[in-house]
Amino acid sequence: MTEKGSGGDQGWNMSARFRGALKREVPRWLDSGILPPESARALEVRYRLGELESEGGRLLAAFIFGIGGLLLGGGVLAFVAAHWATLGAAFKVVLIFSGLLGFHAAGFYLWHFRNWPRLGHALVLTGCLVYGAAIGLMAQVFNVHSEWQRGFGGWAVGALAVAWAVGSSWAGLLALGVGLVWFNGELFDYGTLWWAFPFLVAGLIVPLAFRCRSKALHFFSMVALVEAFAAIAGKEGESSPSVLMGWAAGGFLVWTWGEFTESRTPCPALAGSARVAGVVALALGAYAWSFHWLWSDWALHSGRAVGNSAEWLISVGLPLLAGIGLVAAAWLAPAADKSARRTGWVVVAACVLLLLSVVSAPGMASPYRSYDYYGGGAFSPEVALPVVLANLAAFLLAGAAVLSGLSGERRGRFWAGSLFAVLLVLSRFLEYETSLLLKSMAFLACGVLVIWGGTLFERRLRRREVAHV
Amino acid sequence: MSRRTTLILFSLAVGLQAVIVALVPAGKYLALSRGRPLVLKLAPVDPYSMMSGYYAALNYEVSSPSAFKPSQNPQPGDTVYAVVRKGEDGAWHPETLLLHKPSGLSPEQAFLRGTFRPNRWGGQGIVYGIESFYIPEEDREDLNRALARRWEAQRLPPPPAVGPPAPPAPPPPSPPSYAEVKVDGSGRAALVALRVGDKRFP
Repeated sequence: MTEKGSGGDQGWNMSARFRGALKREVPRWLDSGILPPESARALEVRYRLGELESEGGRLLAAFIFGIGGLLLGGGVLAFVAAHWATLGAAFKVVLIFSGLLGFHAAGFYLWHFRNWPRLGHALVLTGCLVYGAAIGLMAQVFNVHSEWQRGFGGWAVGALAVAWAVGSSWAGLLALGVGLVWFNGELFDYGTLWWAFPFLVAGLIVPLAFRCRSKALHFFSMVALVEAFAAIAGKEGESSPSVLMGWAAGGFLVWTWGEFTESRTPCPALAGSARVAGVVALALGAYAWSFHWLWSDWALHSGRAVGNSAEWLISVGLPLLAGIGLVAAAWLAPAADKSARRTGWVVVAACVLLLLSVVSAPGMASPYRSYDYYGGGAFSPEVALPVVLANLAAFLLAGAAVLSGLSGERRGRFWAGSLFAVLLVLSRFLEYETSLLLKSMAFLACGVLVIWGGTLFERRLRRREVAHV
Repeated sequence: MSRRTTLILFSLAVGLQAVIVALVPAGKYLALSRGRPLVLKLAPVDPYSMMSGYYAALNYEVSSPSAFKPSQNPQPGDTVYAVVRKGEDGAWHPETLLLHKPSGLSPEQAFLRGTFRPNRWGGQGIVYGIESFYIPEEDREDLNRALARRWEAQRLPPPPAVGPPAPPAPPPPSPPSYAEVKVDGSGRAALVALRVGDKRFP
């Protein structure tokens, strides 16, 4: 792994689009005398400009070999399936093991002994898919009927072992996907090991993402963690506010992990995927629960408000405590960008408001509740406080994105925050009974504000670009 | 990491995959090789969900908690031990449902380990891991017909719409259906064959 701040790391960090533009510009700057030859060489080394073409070729080759590997695996499986019923059990077992070992052996040989890494990788990945099929086929051959999720659990373990052995982020993604199926099966189908899933993701899949430097694997690990905490919190609580509690705690943990990754780990480039996953999860949660009918409908049903203490500890207590520890450790490091801290405090405030909205929901303080005197979907005064708090949290998150876009001159964040704020305003106007005139004024005001704010932001960016030149 | 180290790690990982695949039928193989043979009576299933692809969904007399004498009160997800007793028909019928492994059983008694959980028909049931049976293509139609005949025969006639209640009609003769299983010392069951009337599958 390259050290933080080294030239190689910077080259890996930047997008291919930026490096492509730089590669086109450097010869022009050389010709016009803006750039001395030694600086041009330094730029080439720092941003790995010489590797751009081969990287593009490798990506295409990976895609073609990946599709080819899947087709090959599918063809073999279809051929075997067509003759499956006529084969004896022993021959079936031989076929299953031959397929499993054959794909892996061919893949590894081509990858490491014949210098065909992309094709080899695709075959190893196909071997992991064949492995999943092998578990199901063995159960079929021997009439084994078991808890369905156990097959997915075994598949995840084997795929993860291969992912770690060869450093394959694709096999890691497969393990994460089938592991998520196993987790949900365990959680909702009377399994007992569901509690292990968040720890396995944090302890085995996130480090794999760091080893492979895979933003995709890192991002989806974060998404899986948020889903897991929300599902665990909602399992016994039988209520939407319980789900929001786990969801908010998971979003907070994932976002703080992004803060920690940037300042305290050798892979700051992975921080973005965690922060995006965390803030998007929080924003989705705040937006969904900003509608009053969700809270009012919940108030209609009596039942258990909260789950048992172990479930709350795993889904809410641990992520909140770990998140506080991570953000404290991250923010104790000297900050290069003070404005990022200000944005961070806004995100923290939004998390607190979201959690307070759940705590203030009617009946959440007692383990059992019975509210059955409101009409379906009608606004109940008792849910006013959680609705207001969820809306405030959503607006704060929109503000955090706009603030981050303004201070960091990040166009994507600015526009995402602005559009989210507009979506919130329009949703409220459509949700509550207001006159058509008021609705039209709200739409007009939103449109004018977006155009005005956007114009100001784009002008500011342009002035900065001119000043830089 | 050197190529040699990667090769060793990869071999271990693929070996782990092979072991997991081999473990899928291992429990059943152990039960088949060392287990005690029992015959369990099949219970009716909904004929429309009976055949699911290449599998027959099986329901047993011992799958229903109400077939046992009331004893302990299991919760969904609990491991339960179903004590069965050999009947005069040669089949083993439900006796007691326990939450702990039974001991001191007579030779006329045996036990199966299962999980108490909602069954696929919506009620509470006990799952023993022998609830699906892979049907070879050549036997599929035969078994389907035999099971359907069996369950149709077990249906009660509808009550008359008007008039005095008719005396209960004797049930039509129907061939008995059984599953031959083997059960190991821990109560794990493995399915050996199905007997529907005078036919045996496979």
